[in-house]
Amino acid sequence: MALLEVKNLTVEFGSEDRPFRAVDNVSYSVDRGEVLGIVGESGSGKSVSSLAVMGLIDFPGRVTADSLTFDGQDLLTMSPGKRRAITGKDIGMIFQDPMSALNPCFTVEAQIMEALKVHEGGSKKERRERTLDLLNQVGIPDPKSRMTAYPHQLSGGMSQRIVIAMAIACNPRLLIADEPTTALDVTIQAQIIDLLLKLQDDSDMALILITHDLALVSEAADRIQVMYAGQLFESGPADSIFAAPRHPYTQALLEALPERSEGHDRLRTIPGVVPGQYDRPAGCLLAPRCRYANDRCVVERPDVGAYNGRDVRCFYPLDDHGQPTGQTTGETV
Amino acid sequence: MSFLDAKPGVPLLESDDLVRHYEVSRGLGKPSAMVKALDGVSFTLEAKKTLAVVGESGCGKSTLGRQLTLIEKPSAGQLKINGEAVGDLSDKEAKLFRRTVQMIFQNPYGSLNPRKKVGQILGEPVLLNMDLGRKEREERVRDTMAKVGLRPEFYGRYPHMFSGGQRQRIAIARALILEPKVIVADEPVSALDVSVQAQVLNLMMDLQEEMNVAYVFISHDLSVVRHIADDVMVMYLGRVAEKGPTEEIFAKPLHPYTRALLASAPKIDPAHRVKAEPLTGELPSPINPPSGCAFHKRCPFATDHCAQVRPELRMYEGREVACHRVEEIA
Repeated sequence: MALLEVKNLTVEFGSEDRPFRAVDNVSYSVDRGEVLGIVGESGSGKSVSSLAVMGLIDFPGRVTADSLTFDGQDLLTMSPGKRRAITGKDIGMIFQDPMSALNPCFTVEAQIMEALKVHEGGSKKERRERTLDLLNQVGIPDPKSRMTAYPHQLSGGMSQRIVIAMAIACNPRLLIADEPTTALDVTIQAQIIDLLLKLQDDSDMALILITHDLALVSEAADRIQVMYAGQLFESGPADSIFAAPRHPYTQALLEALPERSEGHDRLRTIPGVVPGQYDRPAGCLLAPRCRYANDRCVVERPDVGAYNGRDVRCFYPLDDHGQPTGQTTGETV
Repeated sequence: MSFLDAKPGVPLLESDDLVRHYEVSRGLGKPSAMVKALDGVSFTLEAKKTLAVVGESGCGKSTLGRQLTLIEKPSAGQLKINGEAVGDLSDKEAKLFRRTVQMIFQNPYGSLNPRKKVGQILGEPVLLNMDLGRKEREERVRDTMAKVGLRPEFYGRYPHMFSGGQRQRIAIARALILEPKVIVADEPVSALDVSVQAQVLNLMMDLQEEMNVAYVFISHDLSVVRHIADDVMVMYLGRVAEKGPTEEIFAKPLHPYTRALLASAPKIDPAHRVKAEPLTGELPSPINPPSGCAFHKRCPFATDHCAQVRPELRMYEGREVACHRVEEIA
């Protein structure tokens, strides 16, 4: 059984009669020792879906799901106290901006020790030793002197290492990293991703890597999930999904990358923008921007179906030549 | 007005050993320190060309942008337009210079005044710099809006009504409206999504062809740079590490830092991945830069010589490289 299993997760905001669906019936699962990459543009619901898993969506947001189980326990029906014992301990999270994820008023040591105190207990001396261990583990040079540093004294890369140390302090079994390197330089990004993958590998932890960077997930993840406007559009193994995209959106996203337009004067673009709250199309959400859309796509909304070992939400998934000729089955992979 | 006319054989924009130091206080009773944000940068830019400036945060690329647009005056060195030194210009001429060098900022959510309508935002530079009547001004604004693909009905709307990509189009229109010769674009697409980024980059390239404008394109995204730039200048801690034609730099990076930068950027196709030693450590503090070559502490090829003597830029295989060991490494 998978470690985290999400079935038909929906997150809604706004009024009951005209709700805005930030996440729309998204299902996925992550196993021990697996890296799942979630990619999408802004507004695709990739962050909101992970916040929902962590139980961080506050009123007036509404989270519903057929099931949301972590290690066999249903997170949605358990008591808030019990859920808090799991989130933060067994499920850790890393946020996008390390500068604002740390409290500027406390030292590094105090902040990591707080996480330990809440979940693990132990004497102050033990917690301090464990903190030093953690700083070593995330590769902070001269950790002893950094213990008493305040966040403003650290660079972006260092701060992100502290945030990671805090997230792995209680040996989580699942780590959710929401755009962990977006605020960092490429050279530092490479270091942080290497660190995350090493930690993941060492402890057989599951990792959900949320990012907008297609190249980054293709290098780091085992399985990739492409999201658009709150819906899951395509999911499949990392090594094949970008080599042979089955969904027109995945194909268009890849073609918009500068590295795919080498030798061409202009980049290929996707016309238009991601639909917002008030301009959702009636049919397929991509229909106004899709180059293959026909009359059926405009009026009817496709479901997720299996095609060639992938889950695809499209009436006409792409074949090996990138042409929309395929047909999904009713079942999912 | 002579300095605005192009002269044959003279580059449009020339930076000659540009230096910008900032004095920073280190607390009560301590002597203040010097940050060498820009420490001797030279380049030339021809009309209709794109020069990309690449480097990690803190390498001085944005500081360079601020010197080029005269937002700040350089501490030393000279900026020349059409061979004329900008430092010698009178106030009146400096105003004209600013008209010819415009800027696009990184964050379109921060660079547009939320209390002004699009028409006002675009009309303001015209009002300040050109002697036009109200009617002609509005006409010019509408023309420019059409050029960057903004619909005429957007004239009376506020910035918050637009998406990031549309806002960046407004920012581009504002930079273009005075028909500048040079546009300094500071990370113009890094706040945008991939699909929108491609639209904005195409627009910038179309406008370059149409209006003969030259770009100084400041960016950290190497794949974007590779697509749009004619020349690339890699900066490290306020100095140029390597400079040359884009194709050559990407095909065969010479400086160890350029190599590391290229290797750090993730690639989708396994065939494109560059194998190199990943960089360890972070950019050192510009207050207290390392002796010798600023890069030697992170460089896998560094020797004692690198730690003591600072390498100067020199020609190697048709490119400028600041590395002692370039012959051995290449």
